Amino acid sequence: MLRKLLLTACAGAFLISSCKKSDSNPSPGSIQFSISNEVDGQPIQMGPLNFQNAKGNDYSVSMLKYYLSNFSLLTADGTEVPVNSSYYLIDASLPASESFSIADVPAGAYTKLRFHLGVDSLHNHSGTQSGALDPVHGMIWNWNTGYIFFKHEGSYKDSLGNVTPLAFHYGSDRGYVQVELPLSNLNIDGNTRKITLGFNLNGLYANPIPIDFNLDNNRTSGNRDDVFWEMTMRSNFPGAFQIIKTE
Amino acid sequence: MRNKLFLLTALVLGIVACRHTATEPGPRAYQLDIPSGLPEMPVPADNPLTEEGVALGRKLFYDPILSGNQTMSCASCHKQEFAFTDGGKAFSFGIDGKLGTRNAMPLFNLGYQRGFFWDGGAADIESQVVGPIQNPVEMHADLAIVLGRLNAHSEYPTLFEKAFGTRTISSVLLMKAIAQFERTIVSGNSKWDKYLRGEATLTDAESRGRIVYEDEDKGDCTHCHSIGSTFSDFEYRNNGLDSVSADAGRALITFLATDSGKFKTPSLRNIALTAPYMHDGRFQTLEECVEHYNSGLQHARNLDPSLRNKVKNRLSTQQKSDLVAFLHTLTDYELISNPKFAKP
Ligand code: HEC
Ligand code: HEC
Repeated sequence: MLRKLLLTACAGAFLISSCKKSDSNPSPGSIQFSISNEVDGQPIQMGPLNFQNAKGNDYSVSMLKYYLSNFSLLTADGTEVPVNSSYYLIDASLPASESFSIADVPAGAYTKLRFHLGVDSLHNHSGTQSGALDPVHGMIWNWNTGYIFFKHEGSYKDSLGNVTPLAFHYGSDRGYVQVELPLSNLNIDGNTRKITLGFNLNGLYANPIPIDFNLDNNRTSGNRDDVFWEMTMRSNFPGAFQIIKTE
Repeated sequence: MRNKLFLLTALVLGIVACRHTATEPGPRAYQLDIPSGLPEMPVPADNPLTEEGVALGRKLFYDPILSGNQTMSCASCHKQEFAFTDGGKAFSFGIDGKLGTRNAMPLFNLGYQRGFFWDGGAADIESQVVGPIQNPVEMHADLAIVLGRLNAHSEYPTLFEKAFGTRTISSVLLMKAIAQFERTIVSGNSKWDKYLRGEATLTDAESRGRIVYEDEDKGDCTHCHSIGSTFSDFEYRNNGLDSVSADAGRALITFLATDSGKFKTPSLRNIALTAPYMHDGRFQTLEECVEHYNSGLQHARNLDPSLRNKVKNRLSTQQKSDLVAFLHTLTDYELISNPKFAKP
């Protein structure tokens, strides 16, 4: 009985709101994201030692995977509008993972995009999750329940010219990084906008603190000896992302 | 009280059963048998114990299909006869012959614990499962490949369907099944428990050892390995093994300097079966462990306050051997012979 009442009430409410909408009220839209993984504008090609970082180390990428999560938009007055609490596992070798769409974005004029690299602490300590957080993706630690937020594996040429393995595995609650990027007036009102978001691996290894692969080449969050590297990565992540274009 | 609960459950089950079609009974609730000395075990609402789930978890626990080259199962390092430890090894070899860095832990009464591994890094029993499967120094498997194998197996899809209502095997269901089996491994039928129930008597040495165990000026073991029930409060502590610990322990998880060199206080139940001892397996015998507390405490920065001012050599030879005799009363022979926990 109660249920029926509730249902009718809901239906009523819906009718009223949909009637209003057709006139003048702005309605939600959606945003299509396209992630461009690159090294200083060059697309990432898996395998060859094609790239050079700020420290002059030649390097390659055989795996590049990371989590982006908890997207929100900010209006000019600083109001934060959460748009999505999903987790996206970006894999530079899987084009399908490099685009996703966020629906039901509330109408408004936005000036900033906010998101995070990694998985928030609320979701970082359970392995029994599915979707992007399913342990099957190989992005969880073996010795503790938590996610590897970022993986770059490949090789680099050391100071003696030897090609040496490179492995960075980053991720811990303290390494969950907020990224905030300016948008040139993104107006949402029943429309679909497209944002091309760039991730520059060389930015990650340069700004503000350059990383020299001769010193840092096999690093893992949580290792006592790797704390400095971890903090450097944390401070460099925000600058590695940029809005390439908004359509 | 128990009977009433049972009746109630039966009634509810009856009602539920009536509402379902008679042909689809669904998994049956598993009755955990908790011995009198232990509290009720909390079971997560999203993974209730069922006969089918527990049986499936047990099969998986003993199946090498979960390892990279299909040669190693969980039971390779967690053997029933040694209270589910590795039987004498300080460190265990993985499938590639690589050596781990910590002593394999016993598996019993897990449902009472909050964090898993020596540093508590695994948050719950379910989540812990995928650690050893993927770890390069253990079973070194790609979870996606393991799931592929299970889904293509002649029996597993049917067994998962019986336990969880779906033939599609996912990582989450794999974790849930093994965790269900692990929760059923309960240990509470040692000589000590039987003594408390009036079913056994302690020898003089064992009774004296119990007093040393509790005496604040002597053993004071109960301070951390709380006497009775689970024989540990499972807190993270430094018990003075090294002045500077090579393994950061709990600090690897919390990143707090104050947690450096701290490890989970282990239960002392079945301790006579689980040599070698400590997180790195450094001690071979219980005598060495007792001697450590008697004369070997190192002043680590995070040494537990209760061990800071212990008088060196406070235990007599007699007290030491009595203490060891008491520790032997904590062995539960039913745990290691119970066919319910053996290879199916
Ligand atoms: C190669 C040996 C090896 C294999 C195989 C292995 N383990 Fe372990 N297990 C260990 C070691 C070593 C530890 C302690 C690790 C640590 O603290 O870092 C451990 C710890 C545990 C713990 C934590 C217990 C506690 O009290 O905190 C559980 C639970 C466990 N293992 C279950 C399993 C399951 C389930 C499997 C199969 C999927 C498995 N293990 C396979 C060696 C192994
Ligand atoms: C301050 C807390 C504390 C007190 C008091 C204490 N222990 Fe421990 N005990 C621990 C911790 C923590 C560990 C694990 C240390 C490690 O592996 O690094 C441990 C480990 C052990 C182990 C090895 C267990 C295993 O599974 O490897 C034994 C045996 C032991 N203690 C016996 C005793 C005895 C006997 C006493 C009393 C004389 C005692 N403990 C007093 C905290 C304590």
